[in-house]
Amino acid sequence: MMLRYLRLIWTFTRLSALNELQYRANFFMQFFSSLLTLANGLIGLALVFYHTESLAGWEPMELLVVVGVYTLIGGLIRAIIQPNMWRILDGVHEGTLDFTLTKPEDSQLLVSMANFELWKLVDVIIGILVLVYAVLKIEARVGIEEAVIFTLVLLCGGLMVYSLWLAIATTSFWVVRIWSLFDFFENMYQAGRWPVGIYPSWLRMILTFLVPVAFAVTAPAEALTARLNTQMLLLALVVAALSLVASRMFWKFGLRNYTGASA
Amino acid sequence: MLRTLKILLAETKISMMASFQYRVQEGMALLGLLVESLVYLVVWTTIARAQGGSVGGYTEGEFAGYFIAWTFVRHMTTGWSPWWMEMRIRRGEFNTLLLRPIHPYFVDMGRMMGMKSIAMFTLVPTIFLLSLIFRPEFALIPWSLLTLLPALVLAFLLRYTLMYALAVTAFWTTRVTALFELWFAVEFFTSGRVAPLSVLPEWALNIANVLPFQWMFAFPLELLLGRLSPQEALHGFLMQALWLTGTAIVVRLVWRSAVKQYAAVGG
Repeated sequence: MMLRYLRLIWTFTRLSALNELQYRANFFMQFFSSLLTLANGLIGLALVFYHTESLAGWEPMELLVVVGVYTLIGGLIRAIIQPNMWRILDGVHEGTLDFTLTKPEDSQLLVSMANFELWKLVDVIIGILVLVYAVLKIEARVGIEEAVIFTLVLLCGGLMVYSLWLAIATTSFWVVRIWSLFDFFENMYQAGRWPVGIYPSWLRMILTFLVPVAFAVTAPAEALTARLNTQMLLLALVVAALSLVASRMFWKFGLRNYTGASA
Repeated sequence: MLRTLKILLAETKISMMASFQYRVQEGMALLGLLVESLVYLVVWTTIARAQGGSVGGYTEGEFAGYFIAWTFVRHMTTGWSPWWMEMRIRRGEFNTLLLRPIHPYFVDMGRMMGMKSIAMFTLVPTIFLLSLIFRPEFALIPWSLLTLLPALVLAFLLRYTLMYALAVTAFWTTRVTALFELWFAVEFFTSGRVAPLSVLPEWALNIANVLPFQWMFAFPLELLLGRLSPQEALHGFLMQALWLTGTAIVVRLVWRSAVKQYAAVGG
């Protein structure tokens, strides 16, 4: 069962990658744009640390870790989550989702994996490079344990973001024009450039539970800079599991009520 | 001239109605502005607090004032996306626009005026709310407020015209996005968007001074906050006028050959 799913995911990934490989010029466009975004982030940091030695207890190189995680997760969202969720919206709008639903496989798996934008992974690579550089610079003690916890928290954050997007996309079964909620997410995600601890408490609550920026960006960065406590780690695991289950139930519930657009 | 004005107003009316239709979309766009300014506000007030109250001539409350007024000025001076132009050209929608007996420059301008005026209904209460939360400090000086409107109009016209000059290159290459991304990256730091200009190190300020971006944003913003002397304000208006004249001439020159160059896509 599991093996078949993995094979399915691999096939979809390969197909999307082959499709993207046709447009090689897009790689350079993406590279250029990713570098500009990174430069912007770095100049912003330089500007802040031109005036102060630490921002709410974060040293320059530690904030660079935040920038790295932000870029890395942002790349994953844009490469894997975003294109698929947009496709659900288009599918509901144009009636093409019906073709997916008639296939004899798990529908959530199909809609979540069918599309993948290879070139957006440039951000993931840049993010990782920045992370490695920053971690080496801090000379933080990052052993196997820290690396495992970091990966675990990152995965939890990613799953929470995925669940949120899936829930938003599911709403399109009832309300077709839901684009603006995606925009809302993207706008709120910008706040993750900085550790959520600097924001006032009401905003921090929004960034933790409504839009999981705190879990997706700040918590992994905390794991690498020896800031993450066990409490936050457990919370991340629980919230990730809960949101995954909740979004799956919501998707199933949505499907039962979905009548299709073309029928 | 009068006819152009009439069409401009008609387009304004149409787009006012359209944005009223898509209230939610507009609200979300506004939210984007808010999140961005809120992030800067928090970062800079945190730094000001850590540095004993002020940075680059701004206290905590003055930073709050800067970034709350920021949302208003940013909203007034933007609203036009280069991707929109690229998309119109790629899809062939530009053809119909070119056939109309009015320059597309004015059609787009009318549309933006409509969108901006409708958004005021949400922007003004939001600014009020933000002021209650963050307690901004600013000086309301009568003469600067009186000159604010022309400064905003000139800032908008300058940014819009310069973007038009750049967008026209889309007639030669259908990929102007890279060019615009470079523009936005430079504008980010030299216009006063990410931080007040007085916070920049000297070498960055020198770069900002030879570029037009501060006259499109920081100038009206500082005027609104009452931070400029009459001499500085006069200098600002002069720079705005100078840059605007220059870019207007460029657009006029480039436009003619661009339209000749234009290869229609689709039907």
